[in-house]
Amino acid sequence: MAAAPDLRERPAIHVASLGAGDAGLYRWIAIGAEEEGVPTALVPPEGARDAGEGDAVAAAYAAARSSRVGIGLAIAAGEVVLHEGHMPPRQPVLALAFGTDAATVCRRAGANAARLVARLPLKFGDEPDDGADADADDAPQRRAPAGAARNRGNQGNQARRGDGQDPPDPAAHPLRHPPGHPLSEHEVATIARVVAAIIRQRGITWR
Amino acid sequence: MRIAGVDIGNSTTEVALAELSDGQGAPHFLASSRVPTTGIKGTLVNVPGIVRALTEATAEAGLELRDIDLVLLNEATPVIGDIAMETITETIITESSMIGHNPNSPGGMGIGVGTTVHVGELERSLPGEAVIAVVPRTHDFQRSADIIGRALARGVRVEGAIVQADDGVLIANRLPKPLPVVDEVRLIDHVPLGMLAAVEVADHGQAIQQLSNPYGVATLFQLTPEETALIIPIARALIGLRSAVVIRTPAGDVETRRIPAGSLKLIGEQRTVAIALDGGADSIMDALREATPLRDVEGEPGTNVGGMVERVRQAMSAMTRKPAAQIHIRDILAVDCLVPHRVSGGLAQEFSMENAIGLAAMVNTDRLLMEQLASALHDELGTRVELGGVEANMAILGTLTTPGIDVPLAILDLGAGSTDAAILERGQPVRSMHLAGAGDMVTLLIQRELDLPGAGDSEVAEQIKRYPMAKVESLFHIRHEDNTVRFFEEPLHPKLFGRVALITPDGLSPIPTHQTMERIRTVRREAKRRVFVRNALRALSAVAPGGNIRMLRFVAVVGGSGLDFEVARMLTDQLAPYGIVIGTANIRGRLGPVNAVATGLVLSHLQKRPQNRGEG
Repeated sequence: MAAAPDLRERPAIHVASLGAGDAGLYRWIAIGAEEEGVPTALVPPEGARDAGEGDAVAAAYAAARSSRVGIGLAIAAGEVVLHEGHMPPRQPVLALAFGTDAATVCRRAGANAARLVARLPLKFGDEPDDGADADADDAPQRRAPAGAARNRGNQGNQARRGDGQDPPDPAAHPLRHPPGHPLSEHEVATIARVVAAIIRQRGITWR
Repeated sequence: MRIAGVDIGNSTTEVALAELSDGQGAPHFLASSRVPTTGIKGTLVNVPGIVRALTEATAEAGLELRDIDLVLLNEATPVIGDIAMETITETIITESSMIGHNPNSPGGMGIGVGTTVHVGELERSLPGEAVIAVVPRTHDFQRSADIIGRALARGVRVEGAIVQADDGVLIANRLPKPLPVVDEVRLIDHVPLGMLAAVEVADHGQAIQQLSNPYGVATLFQLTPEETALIIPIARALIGLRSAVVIRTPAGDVETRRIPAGSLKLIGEQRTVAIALDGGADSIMDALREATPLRDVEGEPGTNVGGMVERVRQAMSAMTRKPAAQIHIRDILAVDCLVPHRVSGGLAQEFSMENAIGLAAMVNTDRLLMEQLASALHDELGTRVELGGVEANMAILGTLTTPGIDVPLAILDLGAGSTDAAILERGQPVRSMHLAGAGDMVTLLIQRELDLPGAGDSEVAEQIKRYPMAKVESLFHIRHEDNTVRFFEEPLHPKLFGRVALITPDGLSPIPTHQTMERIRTVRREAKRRVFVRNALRALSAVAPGGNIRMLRFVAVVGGSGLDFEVARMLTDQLAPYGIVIGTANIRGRLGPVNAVATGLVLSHLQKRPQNRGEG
């Protein structure tokens, strides 16, 4: 997946990397896109002065504009931004904070970039796969996206930047946890809230 | 004086509020309202819903509840309906022996046969040995591809791989030669090792050929004719998939078990007909025609249908507080369907399509209940409450306020619980007919056939029934069911991208399923056709003079399901050959198909007063 000599020759998702130490993360983006069957290319960042947050959006937009498939990504300190060439420059499709697992987030960002090209529904990692091969045993889990989806429908067109960093919808909060990583304080608090809500819902009391 | 007509339906309670002048003249309608019915129609729990509907209507008219002088309740159609569904076949894998699913991105292509070997053990395989690598999540794609590559270099004939993670393409791309790789197999631990297995991945946009063909499987595994007969259910379950694995285990066996579906006994006034459920819905409906008019229905004890009929009876008995023995089923509607059912013993959440029958049943309630309800409402409001008249007559009266309508008039009331028809001819009393199965049945069919979130939470199915769909094709445009494209100024939410979404008044709402828009549309329209269109024909021919639909002239569709965006057109298509004017009623020239009964109640009160001639 090395960059072609002339980037304009070959259609690919363009990825700009801001700052140092992100080359490893580009590999995960490329892997995510490869599994979906779409090529990627690393491009020099444009439109960015430093690795600030706003510049990641600008770099992702520039990458998307230079890509023949119109999709671009920018890797910045702590987040990856996915942009599409027709979107308003300041409004990326997704901006995902790395959290505890940058590799997974980047792989998913790469997969989503490819899915934009392939016109498949995006993966959000926070919802169970609700398709035909979903886990039918998890009935309550499966219901969750339906309810959440309606709320989203109401929001309609108001796609917002920072969706991944600060999800407005509590149901959309990632609760999946890769094994072997310690939980962050925030995650523990989230889990405790969910458990408390379930206990309250079932009317269980203890003394 | 101000009177309120209240129509309690299976799903909504409707009110028409009107001012009646003491002299001559038509009533002056002040307001209408429509709220969800609380509880089962015709029971005391309806009161809160009625009060809410009245409050809404009076608020709209700028009045208070106490300003109402008289409340007229419909003498509710003395029927309530219930629905049930049972599968009559079931596929069971007695020993894990197949994986068939559509991962988003299987890797490579082709077909491979070999012995299943854990990827960690691959180094011990001998050159020349045909193997299928089994890769759990603990081995990432790079490591697995390296191991498989080394084994191939040593001369081990690795023929394919079964992978737990979503790594199929990644592994296939890193191998020296193209091999079929099936990925996203969640229960990889259950894949038996050391067994002969076949892995097949079809090219993009195609379906597997060999493993979905019984003789193909027989060729790969060198099966005897007897063994080939046994694998037919496997081959059938794999038809149309892009990737599959079949593993031959010594006792491996998949069977299609036919659950004893049992038979229905239709007890008619004149004759009784017993009919086996496996004959399908059509034969049940044919038998019903022979037995009509129906006195009761019984299911064969100890079978699925026996349980189904008993459940309906129990539910009705609980609702009406009458002993189950006194609950008589007066009509049924049977509908065939194919429902996805999880294959027990599958390794990747396989589903197989199983035959099922949906049954809607209807029982009669009695007037006593409505009287109790009227008195409870009187206690609650302190207003005079009267039972206004038979629902069918009221509906006809209300429908007559539709511009351009005349007698002889037949109405088709498509509700949630029952489909009713009534006919008014000059100089004759209104004739009416109540049939089991309406909107709720359609919702059930959609929910089961598309395998949407289940019982008690069929809201997604309800919305699919109600709203048209579109496919979100880009962040800026959607494609409607009729192929027209609509662009948006503002980008759509990323969660909508690539999905099929419902066009609701609140905006686009994604449907939580991977089914295609075409499939959802087919299921939705078929459900409506099998319930609404079929029941419309049954009901109309029951009330038409001499049972001949051709004798009808004006048919108006009323009731909540009349609001449906496509049912009226489906009915028109079906009834056009009979030369009937059919359309959706427009009550009082502006309310559409709802509020017919409530409006009719007000009008009938006017007719009752001797000094006035109602406008009916």
